[in-house]
Amino acid sequence: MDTKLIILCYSLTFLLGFLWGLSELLSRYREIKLILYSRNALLYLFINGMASVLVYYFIPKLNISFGVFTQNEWGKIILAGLSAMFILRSSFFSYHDKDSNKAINVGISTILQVFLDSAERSFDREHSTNKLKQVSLVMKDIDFTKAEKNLSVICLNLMLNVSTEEQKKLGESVKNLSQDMDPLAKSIALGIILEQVTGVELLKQAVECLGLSIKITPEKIDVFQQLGQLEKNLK
Amino acid sequence: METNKKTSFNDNFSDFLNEYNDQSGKKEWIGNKLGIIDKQLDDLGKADDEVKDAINVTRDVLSNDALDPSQKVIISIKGINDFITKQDPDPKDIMMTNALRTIISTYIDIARYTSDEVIAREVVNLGNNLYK
Repeated sequence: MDTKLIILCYSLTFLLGFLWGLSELLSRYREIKLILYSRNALLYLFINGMASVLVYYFIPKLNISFGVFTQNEWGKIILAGLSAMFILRSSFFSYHDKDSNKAINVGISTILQVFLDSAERSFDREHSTNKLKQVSLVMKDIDFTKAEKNLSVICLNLMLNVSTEEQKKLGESVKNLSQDMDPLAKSIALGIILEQVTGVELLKQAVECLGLSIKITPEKIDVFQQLGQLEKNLK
Repeated sequence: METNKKTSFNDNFSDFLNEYNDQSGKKEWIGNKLGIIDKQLDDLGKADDEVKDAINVTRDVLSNDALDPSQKVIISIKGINDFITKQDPDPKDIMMTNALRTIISTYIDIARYTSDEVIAREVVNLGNNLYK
């Protein structure tokens, strides 16, 4: 095969693996901008892309056969791009040693998985820290009892593509928040739950729209501070 | 297309409201805490006879099914506050002081759970009365 064509095939395989990883991250974190600006997320995507390239390289070398997929280059690109980790984990990726007549499992998938998990965890930490900072700023003056229903209703009304399942999950999560937590912690937790559906900007707009109707009064802050002090005295 | 989407959204949205409006879990939680307080009142048994009425009134409030859990909380706090005022517990009476501290801690849990300013204020008053 022509060198240019080989480079094109590897590039396409890498791109497919990269996009497959991106779709995985998007399904979990839902913000493309945040993913593409994060070094850890890019590392995750790069590892995914490289895993695809690796599988594309090994398909002919190890005679891996997936029917029509492995009969032409396009099939191999699609196969390697979209199912690299599956193939690396599967029993197809074992090397048959003719001398010892034994199947040797190649542990690439285990190693890659460690790097993938580590990159995703780092991204998750980075993502959570950013979110906490942003949501805390939006929710710091919000009264949980006033906002739990009103803010949830406004946010859900604004979003048209929230599935029944997501709404049910959101309703349950908001309901489960009513534990003996500090009111500020509950407000921030409410913001974190809603932000997963709306994103920070829409949450901020919704909070601004509702204005004073969901803001905590200085008297309430004061009484809960006194409650905290009383709790300390009791211990 | 848009109409269909909106209709199905409204159907979905009512699911959220039903899920959210199911307050039975919250009432059950407060009810359980009030049950704990009812038992904790036993530890105040060594109170003087003339102030035992305040405890009995509080017990009646806690067992009154006609009252909403939030009402029970506020009225029972007032009952215990009344008890503290009349009994004026001796700080050296470790058993009674500890019993009252435990009861107040349970009320703090309820105030946090409900995030209710009125309940929180009543609990703070109760604590101030104990530590005056």
